[in-house]
Amino acid sequence: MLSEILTEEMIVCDVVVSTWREAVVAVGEVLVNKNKVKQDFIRSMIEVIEEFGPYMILVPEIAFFHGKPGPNVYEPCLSLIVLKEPVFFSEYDNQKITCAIGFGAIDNESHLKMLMNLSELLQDQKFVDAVTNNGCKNDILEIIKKY
Amino acid sequence: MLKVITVCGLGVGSSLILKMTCEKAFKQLNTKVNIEHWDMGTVKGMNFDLLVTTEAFRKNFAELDNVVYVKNMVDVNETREKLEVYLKGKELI
Repeated sequence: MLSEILTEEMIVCDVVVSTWREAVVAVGEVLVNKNKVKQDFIRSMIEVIEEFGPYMILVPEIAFFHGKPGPNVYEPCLSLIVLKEPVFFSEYDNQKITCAIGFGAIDNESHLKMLMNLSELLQDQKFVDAVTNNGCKNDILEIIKKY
Repeated sequence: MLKVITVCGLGVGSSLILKMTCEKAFKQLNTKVNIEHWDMGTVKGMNFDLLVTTEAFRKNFAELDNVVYVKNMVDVNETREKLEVYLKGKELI
């Protein structure tokens, strides 16, 4: 169940950041603070964007930030931050994000079920509306319960 | 059976999610396919019938004519519509 991974402590709302890099650090710090990944993982998350651009905006305004799988990740994990104000990728058509999901993988496949559930969640318009409009944590948790 | 690959930067997250979306879309189109997910580095020189990726990578595959680009990687409807246009264009369905 996604609700067992994306728990109350893995979600932060009303996050104030002014650049996409700060957003990556903020969503990565949630994973670091809960001992899901090493600090170095955050650098890997930023490097992927520097190399390939923000292709990981899976759904408009929702970024799915992740670094290279491997020893920097202790277990497959997810975190979620909801931004108080949007940030933009000025280098890439000024694409906007209002929500970021942090994702750590230990290998290429073991997170399959977790991402299947996440994919279902991202198709739930109620969820998308809540996280892209600085919705409240209780409402977001209530929606996640179903997945 | 068509060999389809989904591609993203690292080949672990976004491409896997896009693979799931494609599986649903192909099922709706009653088309049997074999789908693998890969990273940008590995995909060069690979053999496949169709590559599916995000709009963000359009410029990376400009020289290929067997690529379908999607905007929303979890949107089964968008993906199905684009796959249908591609498959019909190639007279595969």
